Amino acid sequence: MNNITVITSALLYLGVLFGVAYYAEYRLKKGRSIINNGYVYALSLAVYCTAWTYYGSVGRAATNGMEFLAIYLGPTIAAALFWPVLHKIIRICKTQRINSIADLISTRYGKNFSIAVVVTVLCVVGIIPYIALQLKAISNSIHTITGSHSTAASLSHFFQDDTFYITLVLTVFIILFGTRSIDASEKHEGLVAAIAFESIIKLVAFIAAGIFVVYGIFNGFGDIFSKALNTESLKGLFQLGNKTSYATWFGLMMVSMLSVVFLPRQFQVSVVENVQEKHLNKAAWMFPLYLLLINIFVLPIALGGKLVFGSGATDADTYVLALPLHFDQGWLGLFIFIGGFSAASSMIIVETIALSTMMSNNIATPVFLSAKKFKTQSGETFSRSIISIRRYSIVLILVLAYIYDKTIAQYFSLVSIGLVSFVAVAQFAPAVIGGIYWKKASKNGAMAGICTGFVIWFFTLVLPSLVSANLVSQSVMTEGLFGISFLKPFALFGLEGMDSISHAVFWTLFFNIVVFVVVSYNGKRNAREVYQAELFVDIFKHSAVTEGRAAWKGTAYLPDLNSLLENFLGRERSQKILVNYATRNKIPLDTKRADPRLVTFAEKILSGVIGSASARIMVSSVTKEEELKIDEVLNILRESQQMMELNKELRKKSAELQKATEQLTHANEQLKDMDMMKDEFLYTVTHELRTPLTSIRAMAEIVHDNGDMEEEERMRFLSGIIKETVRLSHLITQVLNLERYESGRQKLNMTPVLLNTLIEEGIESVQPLAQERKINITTRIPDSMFIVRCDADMIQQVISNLLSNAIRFVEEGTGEIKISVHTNHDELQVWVEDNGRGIPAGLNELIFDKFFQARNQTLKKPQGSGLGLAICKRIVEMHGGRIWVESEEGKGARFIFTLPIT
Amino acid sequence: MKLRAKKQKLQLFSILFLVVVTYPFISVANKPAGSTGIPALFLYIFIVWALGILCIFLLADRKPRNRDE
Repeated sequence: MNNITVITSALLYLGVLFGVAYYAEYRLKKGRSIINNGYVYALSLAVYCTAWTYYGSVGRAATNGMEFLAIYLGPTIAAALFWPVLHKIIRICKTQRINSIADLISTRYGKNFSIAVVVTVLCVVGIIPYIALQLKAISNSIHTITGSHSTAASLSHFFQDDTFYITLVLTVFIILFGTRSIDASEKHEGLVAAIAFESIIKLVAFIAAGIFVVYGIFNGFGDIFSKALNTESLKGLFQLGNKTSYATWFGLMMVSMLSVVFLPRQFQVSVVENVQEKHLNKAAWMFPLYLLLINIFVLPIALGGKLVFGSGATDADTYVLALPLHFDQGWLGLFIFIGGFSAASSMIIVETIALSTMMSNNIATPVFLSAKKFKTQSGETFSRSIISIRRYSIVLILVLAYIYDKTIAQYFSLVSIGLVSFVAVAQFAPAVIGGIYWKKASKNGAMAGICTGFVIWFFTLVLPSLVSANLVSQSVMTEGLFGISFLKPFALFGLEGMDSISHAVFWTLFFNIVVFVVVSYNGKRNAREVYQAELFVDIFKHSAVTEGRAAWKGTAYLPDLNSLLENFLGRERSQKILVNYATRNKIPLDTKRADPRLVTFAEKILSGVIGSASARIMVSSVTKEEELKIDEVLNILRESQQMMELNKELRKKSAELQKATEQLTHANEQLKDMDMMKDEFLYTVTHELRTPLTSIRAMAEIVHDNGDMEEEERMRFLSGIIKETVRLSHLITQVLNLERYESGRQKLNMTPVLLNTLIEEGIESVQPLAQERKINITTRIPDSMFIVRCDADMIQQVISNLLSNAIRFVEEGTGEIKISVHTNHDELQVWVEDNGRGIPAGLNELIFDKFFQARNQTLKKPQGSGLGLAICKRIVEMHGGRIWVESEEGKGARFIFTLPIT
Repeated sequence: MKLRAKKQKLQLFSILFLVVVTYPFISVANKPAGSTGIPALFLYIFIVWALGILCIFLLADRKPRNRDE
C-alpha cells in the first residue's frame, strides 16, 4: 500500500483522537462528564494492552506457544487480589492529592525528596525502552503495510523516517491535553476519553483480524488447530514445557500481576484519573474480560501465520498485519494497522504524561526552584514555567525513546523489551504494599529495597541487552562479572535453568523484600515518617478528619503563605481556595501569624501541583519550622483519634437523649390526660353521689320535722330513704369495682364455664325487672356447648348489665330483647339486641366512657349509674375480648362482646 | 462490615484462581495434543478464565451492592 495513504490515515486517526478529547472536555464544561462511569474507567485500564499485546503476543505465541497467556492471566488475578489494595491507594491519593507513583512512595516515607528522585529515575530508565518498543512497533507496521523492506532509517536520517513525524504529532497531542492545568492531580478528562476510545478501536481491529484469519483463510478454530497439530514443528505450541517451564509460567504471572498496578501508566489511569472509587467494581471484571477477548485469537493467528508463511522471512511479530495483506485485503490491513497504531499511541500518551509529571515534579522543578529566587517572580510566569518544565519533560522522554528505538531496540523482539520494563516497576511493589499495610516500613528500608532491586535488575536484564548491542564485552555473559562465575547475569549465584525474566523476577524481588524488611526493622524513623505511616495505613479511619488537623509546629506568616500559593495558582484562585478552607474550619484570616492548619493545607494544595516532596521544600522555605518530636506526632494522632471517638460517642449520646426526651414528652402528655380524667371522674362521682344524698336528706327532714305524720306516710318516706340508700351503696360499689379493675388489683378467677349457663343465669337475674315492664326476652343459642375459660361472676355481670340496660331503653310493653351466641374464627360473640330507641350516630364509642350519661345532661336522662357499660368494657378487655355496639337511631341497638376461645 | 467481607472474598478467590491456573493444577490439561479438535490446554485456560471473570463479577459488582461506605 502507498506510503502516503498509510501516513495520512494515521494522522487522520490522530485527528479523530483530538476530536474525542475535545468533545470530552466540552462535555465536562457543560457539567456532563463522559468519563464519570465505570465502563469508561474499565476501558481506560485497557491501556495495559499495547503494541506488545497487539503485535508482540502473536510473535511470542509463534515461538513459545501458550506462554504469552500468563501475562494476561496475571492481571485477572490482580483484579481480585489487589482490589482492596487499589481501593486503599485511591483513597490515599485522593486525600493527599498524590499524582504519581513516585509521589506516593515519597509521601508515605516522610515526603522524602531523595526517594522520589530514585523512583523517578528507575521509572524513566525502566520505561523509556518500553515507549521505544511502541515506536518500533509503529515503524515495523508501517514497513509491513507499505511493503518497503528497508530496515529502519538510521538515527542520522531521522527526517526521512515516518515514525519521526508520527512521534512529533503525538508529542503535540500529549502537550495539548496533558498539560492543560498546572494541577497534576486534576483529571485529564479529554485524554481519558481518547484512551477509552483507543481501547475500543484496538479490540475491534484485533478481533477483525482474528475472524479473518480463522474464518476467512481457514475454516474455523477446528480447522486451524488440526492443521497445526499435523505439522510437527507446531505441535509443541499447544503445550507448556517445551520452551516454557512451570516456573516461567508462574514468574510471568507474578510480574504481570505487579506491573498491572505499578506501571506508571496503569497507576495514572487507575488511580490518578479515577473519578469515583465505586468504578473499581465494574473495572474488576470488565478489564479481565477485555484481556480475554483480545487474547482468544492470538494463538490462531500465530498458527495461521506459521502455516501460511512457514518459517520464511516474515517476522512473526507482524503476522496480524501480514496475513490480511498476503491475501490482498488492503482495507482490512489498513484498519488493523490503525488498531495497532491506537494500541501503541495510547500507551505512549499515558506513559509519557505519567513520566513527565514525575520528572518535572521530582527532578526538574526542585532544581529550577532552587536556581531561581522565586519570591521575586510574579505568579503568572511562575505557573507558566512549571507547565513549560512539564512540556520539556514530555519532549525529552519522547526524544530519548526515539533514540533508543533507533539504536538498541532494533536488536530485540517486542515482548522481551516489555518484560524488562515489567520487572523494573515490580520493584516498587514491596515499598508501596508494605507502606500502606505495615506501619513499621521505613524510608531507609524502602530506599534500600528499591535500590537493591534496581541494581540486580540492571545486572540481570539490562546488562545482557547491552552485551547484545555490542556495548559491553561478551565475556560478562559467559564468565561472569570480573570473571567471577557466581555473577553471570543469567545465572546469578549459580541459579540456572530458569529463563532470564523469571530468574530476574526471583532475585530482584527476593533481595528487594529481604532488604526492605530487615532495614525497616533495624532503623529509626523520624517523626514525619511515623505520622505519614499512620495516615497511610489507617486511611479509612483518618480520611474523615484529616482535613482540620495539622502536624506542624513553628512560625509562619500569612502573607508569606499567600504569596507562595499565588506564585503557583495565581492570585484569584489561591485566595478562593484559602478563604474557603478557612471558613470551613473557622480559622481567622486577619491575623499576621498563620494557623498551623493553614500551613498544612497550603502544603497539600502545592503537592497537587509540584508533588509532595517539592511542596514540602517550598513551604519550609517560607516558614520557620521546628522539628516535631515523635511523641508530639503521636499525641496529635492520638488526639485526633480521641476526637473522632468522642465525636462518635457524642452523636450516639445525643441520639439517645433525643429518644429519651420524646419518651418523656409522651409520658408527660399521658399523665396530664390522666390527671384531667381523674378530676373529671371525681367531679362526676361526687355529683352522682349528691343526688341520692339530697333526696335522703330531704325525706329524713320531712319525717323529722313532722312528728305527727301519719304512720302510713312515714313508712313511705322511710322506704324512699332506704331505696335511695341502696342506690347510693350500689353506686359506690360500682365505683369501687371499676377502680379495682382499672388499677389491675382485681384478679380473674378463671374457670371453664358453659356459656349457655351464664346466659340463663343472667336472664334469670333481670327477669323480675323485665316482667315488671312487660318485656319479652328471647334466646337463640346453637345446640352445641360453648365452654369458655373466664371469671364466671364477672362475665355474668356483663350479661346482666347489658340486659338491664336494654330493658331500660325499650318501650314498656312492646319491648323485645334477643340474646344470641355466634362463633367467629377464634372467638365467641354474644349479641344482645333490642328494639329500643337506639344510639345517635357518633356516640357508639363514647357510651362506654365512665359517666357518659352524667356528662351529657342534655340527653334524656335514663336511670342507672352511668358506670355499667364502662365496667362491662373493662371486664371484657381483661378477658382479652372486645365490646362494641352497632346501632341506628330509632331502630334499636345491638351490643356485642367477644370472648376468645381457648 | 460488608466492605471488609467483600475484600476478603475477592482475595480468597484470587488465591483459588491462582491455584487452578498454575502447576500442578494446570498439568492436568497440559497433555500432548491429539490430532484433531481444540487442544485441551487452550480450552482449559479460556474456560477457567471466563469462569473466573464471572466470579469476580459476582463478588465485586453484583447488585444490590453496598453503597460507598
